[in-house]
Amino acid sequence: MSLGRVMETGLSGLYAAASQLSTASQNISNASVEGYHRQSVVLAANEPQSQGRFFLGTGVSVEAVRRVYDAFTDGQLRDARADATYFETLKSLTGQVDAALSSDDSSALPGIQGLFSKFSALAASPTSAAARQLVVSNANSMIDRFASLQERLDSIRRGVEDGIGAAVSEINSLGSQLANVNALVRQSVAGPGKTPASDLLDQRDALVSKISGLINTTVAYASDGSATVTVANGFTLVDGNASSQIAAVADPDDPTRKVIAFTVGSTTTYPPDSDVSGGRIGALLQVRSELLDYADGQLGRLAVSLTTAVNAQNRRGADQNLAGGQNLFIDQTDLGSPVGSLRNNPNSTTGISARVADASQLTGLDYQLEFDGSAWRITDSEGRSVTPTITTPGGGDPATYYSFEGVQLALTGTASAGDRFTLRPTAGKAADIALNPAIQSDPKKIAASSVVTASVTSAPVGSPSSSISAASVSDLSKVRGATYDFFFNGTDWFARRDGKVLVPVTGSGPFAFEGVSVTVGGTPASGDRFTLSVGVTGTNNTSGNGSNALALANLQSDTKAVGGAATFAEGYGQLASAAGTQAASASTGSTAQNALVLQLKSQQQAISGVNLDEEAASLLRFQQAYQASSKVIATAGRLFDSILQIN
Amino acid sequence: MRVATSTIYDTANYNIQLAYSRVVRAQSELASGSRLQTAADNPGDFAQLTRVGQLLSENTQYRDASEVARNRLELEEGTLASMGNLTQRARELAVQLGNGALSTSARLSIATEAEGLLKSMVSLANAQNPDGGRMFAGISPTDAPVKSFDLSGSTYWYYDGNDSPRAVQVSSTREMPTSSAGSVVFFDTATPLPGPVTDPNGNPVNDSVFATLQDLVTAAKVPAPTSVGTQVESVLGRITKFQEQMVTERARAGAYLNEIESIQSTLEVSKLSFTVLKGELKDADLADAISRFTQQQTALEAAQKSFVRVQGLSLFNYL
Repeated sequence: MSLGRVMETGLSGLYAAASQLSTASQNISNASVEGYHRQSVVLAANEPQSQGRFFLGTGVSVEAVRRVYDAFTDGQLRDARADATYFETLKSLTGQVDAALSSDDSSALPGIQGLFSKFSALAASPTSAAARQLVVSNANSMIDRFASLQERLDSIRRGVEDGIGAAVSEINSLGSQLANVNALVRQSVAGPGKTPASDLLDQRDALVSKISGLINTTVAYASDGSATVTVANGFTLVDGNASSQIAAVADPDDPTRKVIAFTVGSTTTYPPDSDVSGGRIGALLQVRSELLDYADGQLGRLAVSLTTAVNAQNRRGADQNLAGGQNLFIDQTDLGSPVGSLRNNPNSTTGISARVADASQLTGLDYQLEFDGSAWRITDSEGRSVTPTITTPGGGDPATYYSFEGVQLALTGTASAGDRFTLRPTAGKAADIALNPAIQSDPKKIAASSVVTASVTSAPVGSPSSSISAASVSDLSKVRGATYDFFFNGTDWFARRDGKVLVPVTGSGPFAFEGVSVTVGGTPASGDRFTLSVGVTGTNNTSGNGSNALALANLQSDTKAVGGAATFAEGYGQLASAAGTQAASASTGSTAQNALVLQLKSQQQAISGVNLDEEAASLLRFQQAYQASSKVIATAGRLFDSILQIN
Repeated sequence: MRVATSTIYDTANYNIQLAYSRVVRAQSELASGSRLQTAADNPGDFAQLTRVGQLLSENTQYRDASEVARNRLELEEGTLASMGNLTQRARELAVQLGNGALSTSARLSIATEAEGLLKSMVSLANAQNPDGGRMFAGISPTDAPVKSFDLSGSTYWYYDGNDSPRAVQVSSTREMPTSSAGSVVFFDTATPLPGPVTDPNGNPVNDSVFATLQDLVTAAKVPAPTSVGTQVESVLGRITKFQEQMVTERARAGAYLNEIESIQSTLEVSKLSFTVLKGELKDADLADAISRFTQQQTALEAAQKSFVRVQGLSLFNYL
């Protein structure tokens, strides 16, 4: 036993106390750093030395500096925060849509009510130029409201598309940062018995937490301290030192929008929205498919139902110059062509065009069309399978017609099994409403008066083997000024209004459609074709009657106008309250989630957070330990001195 | 339990934010007077509010239309009253003329006055509504429903309007005629004037209050000694007939006005109940909003004050 050992033991205590002081000061200075876990020094008594019959201690040494950490609580907090980001994004976007649809300043409702109340005023004073002008100006303000509402929805949608791109680059950047940190963590434990650096682990966990706030994430920790991160239900974003990238690319099934994609080897996978569920991207995709697509479709449906119904009614009346009415709004029954998937067989020659067959039956939903090798399967955006009525008129018409839910598709060409098309029949239609320029410039052309007479004239096309023996108006309330292509395909007669939509022909001679009755003479052959013109006029001295303006005004109380089940106002109310429901539930979810985050964070901080009072006490304690060890060294020094003085 | 220093700040921050957002919410309810600012505030109530709004809008339309109808009927009633006075005067003139002992100049002055009456009658029969339509033209938009033409030295009066009255929808179930066709008020369609006379539209010319007055003028212009007893008798009979026709139409207008009165009061009652319903759905309960505002303001202040006190507690203060 030697005095030197006393000195060394004292010195080891001095070192240990210095490490503890240093750790306490690290804790104090990082007290407010997000994601910091308080650190503590693990001390252990040194191996004792044998002195023959007994052992003497050899002081203390620093075993490790560890962060105080509970994997379960930290994991819970990370998941709760990811959900909070999800709800926060959802709340913000649904709130914007809700505000646009339901606040009095931007709602379409006052516009709709304004137009119909002016129809009503016109019914009372059909010859008043002022009443006619008011119909025009109120129609224009309704159009403005629809258009600016659609513009608002479009701008929210652009924000969503941009948000998806931004989140994806953030994920990729975070992924490569995490791979770097993983490498550092691995280095820090290289060597026997080494513990990883606490601050690196904090960095690692903060990055994982950020990624999980953006997208659904699962994480696994290797024994070397590195984190493996899997996102979007199956894509390994980070594995040790290596990171891969996900991408936001045009959806091959619908190139107008972005989807998440990742490539492993040569295989590119486009995970469905249901696989990309959490965090900010999850919220963006959900808002797009469940709210924006819905709102676009419903608002467009309202626009198409309204303009189509008003147009049809205006064409049943007579204007102030006694001429038959025309479309009040630009016709919106052309629904364009569905978007084909980029993955469709390039040899397919499918041509599809969509029209409104019955505006009051439109659902406002989107449809997926998929060719199964023999027929097209149709699924709506709520996942229901739709059964169309299929008609092939032939007689020079190459198209096959699929009719369902107010829509009529004309399909031509040949398709290959697996070909897909996306049809959004009414999306964006709210921005397209426009007043017929003829009406805009001459409000006298509003057909305020009821038609008193209507006549049908027929003319053969080519030299058909049958003839029209009688053509007359059978129902004045259903008739409208139009030209019909009336033709026979060998089995049935068909009527196509204005070269556009096929209208149902009923009866087996006389045949009836849209208030017109036709009797065919002779034996019809396939390809027989006639042109039927229906003219409606008022008669002299009657344009002071406002019956048709009244019929126009009464469209507002038609309880079957929208989707066969609601008035225009109710249709709008349903849309706004559906959006409101989503906004309310996102807001409630967000509030609840924030409370949960606070609670979990308190729990996590109770374990891992810095308490400054505690550190202040530690400072005092370690200071005293330091002073005590100094005293030991000083005592040993004095003992040496006393020995040296012996002589 | 161990509490991290950051938790003190996090908790205070959370509570202050929460209290603040509640204060803002109560404040915005107070400022806007509405507790249903967007559908998200209560989606169910919002859908109902939409329906009530539509009903209110239709109610306003009917009240506007009934006001149009009332104006027209009041105007028609007033016009028919004036016409009643004019025909009454014509009757007096006819009685005077029938006296026989009149000088030529007296007769001529009767003729002049009767001509004036005729002109006034025609002008009233062609009177316009405030919206530009003709009061007695039915649903015809034409310029003047009562027109005349001359044939072999005589003037004939005919109706160029429509026989259907102009109707206005004043409630969801009532379409009310708001004018009388001139053919019914001023003409006697059962009595065509003698002779093969047709109007420019090709219809026979019927007896009318105008033809009657025309005949009065003609009779008054006959030189003094000649007796016009038969003409005057015929004129008096026809005046009575047309006065009855006009009184009937006036009574009808009066009955419609009464009906409008009752329709309008029904509309007012339903407007009131819709407005009350709308208020229940949308309007802020001010007493409740003020008390919540005060309460939440207090909660916010408490959160702020307690935070200031708690964050001042630190062991470092004593080192």
